[in-house]
Amino acid sequence: MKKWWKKLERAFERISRGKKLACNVALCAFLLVLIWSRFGYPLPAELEFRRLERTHLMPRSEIVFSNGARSEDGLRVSRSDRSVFALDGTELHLRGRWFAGAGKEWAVLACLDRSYNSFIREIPLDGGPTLAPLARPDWYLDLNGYWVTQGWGETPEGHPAYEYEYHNFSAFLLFGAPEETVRAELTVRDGGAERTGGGWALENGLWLLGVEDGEARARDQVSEIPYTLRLYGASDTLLSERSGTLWEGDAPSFVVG
Amino acid sequence: MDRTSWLDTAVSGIRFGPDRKAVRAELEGHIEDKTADLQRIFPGIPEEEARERALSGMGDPEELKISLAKVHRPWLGWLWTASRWALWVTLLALNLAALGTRTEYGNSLRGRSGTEVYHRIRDGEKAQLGQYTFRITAAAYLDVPEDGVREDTLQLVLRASSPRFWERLSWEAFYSSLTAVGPDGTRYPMDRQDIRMDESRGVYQVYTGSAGCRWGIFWREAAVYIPAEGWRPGDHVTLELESPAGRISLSAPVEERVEIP
Repeated sequence: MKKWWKKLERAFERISRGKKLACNVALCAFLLVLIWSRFGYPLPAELEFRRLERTHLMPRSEIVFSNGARSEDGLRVSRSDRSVFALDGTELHLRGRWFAGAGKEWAVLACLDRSYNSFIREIPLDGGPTLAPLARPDWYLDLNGYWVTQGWGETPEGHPAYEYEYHNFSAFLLFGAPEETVRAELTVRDGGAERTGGGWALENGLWLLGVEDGEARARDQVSEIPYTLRLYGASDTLLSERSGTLWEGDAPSFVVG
Repeated sequence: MDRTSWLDTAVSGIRFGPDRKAVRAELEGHIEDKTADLQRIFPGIPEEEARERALSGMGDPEELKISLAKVHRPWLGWLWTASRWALWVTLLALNLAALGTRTEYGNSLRGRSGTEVYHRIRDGEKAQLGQYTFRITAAAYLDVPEDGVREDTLQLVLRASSPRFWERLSWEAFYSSLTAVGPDGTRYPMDRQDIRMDESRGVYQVYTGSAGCRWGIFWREAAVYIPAEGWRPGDHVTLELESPAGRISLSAPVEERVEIP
């Protein structure tokens, strides 16, 4: 070992400084790749989403949703929560980093949060409104989204106090809502309990829906989760009504983490 | 000019400090050697005179300064120093990363899951899907002992290679998109496994299904098992991959019979 090392040292002394520099740079690059591999080759969020698509043999989609906005209210519960702004200006926070991509007849939904377990799922689109829960299909509809209202109120004793109220919800993404939609109403029956909620229009014709509170149940406790989605236009005319079961007809998901 | 000023002048054109120091030491050595030579050749010469003559024999320090400045480029020296520091910092970071992280299964540069591969084939069919090149790398008839639990199976190994080592095909994509077609045309989707096991005897076998087996820097391999009933040497097994990105089909003959202890 010592002889081998001494030989290498002598050979290294003989070569020019330029060659030594090239050797060092190559060695550094190799070590950096080793370090990168130790962490599972992390990439910036959008590249990570593109990598998930490729490594799961999915075609490249056009990104239509991502909750990577900079928070304006600064009221996120955790650093891993990410924000998205609705068209009406409401700041919505979601647990984990989400991406949605769309193709002609399909959409792709991915969550990149390592602690929440990354996953990618293909969602077939049939031209009508299509609901996609922002949750792992083998998990449960936990409360993974919230928005915050704030303002001056009163304590029970009548003293003025500045209050923050967190409104938690289980989040859904709605693809293919009619353009005239001004209000959405979603009801899910999650293991017996009925939960309802509304939604916010986003860019690219998407809606983010949320059903509030309720007792979240693990997926193995609930065989299926039926839902009813109603979309209303101006003057509250019913534009579309859809009932079904969440994740029904979806292609299999790939849970990565 | 005394020796110190001569040396200072000669090396003053070298802008890279460590080089200046090294060259100065080397020139000083030469002067010492010359002085010693003169004293050896002319034993009676006083030391001071020998030093003066040695110094004058070294030439004009101003001329030497210009030549040395040309040879010793400072940027290369600084880059070289920076690269050495970078190497040490990277080594330290690697040690810290090795201490603080646990490589996820299959994310390491090379590895194996414990699934044995029994008979390699060299020139299996190749096909391209997405950025991956798929190739059948092994095919064998696995003859297992008759223990009432396990049954004979056909094993094929499918390799997915990509030059992007940070984007090796996910195991989930292997399992969900793969279907094996047996010699009799029976189709076996690989998104499920038929396991034969007897816990009391410690017997376990994947009878039908797929399992990750090995991975290298640029590839991953998954073993595919299907029932071997009615097998004859040379029977072909086809592996079909169907995904939103496209569809490919590869087949290979199973010629080798391997006895499993």
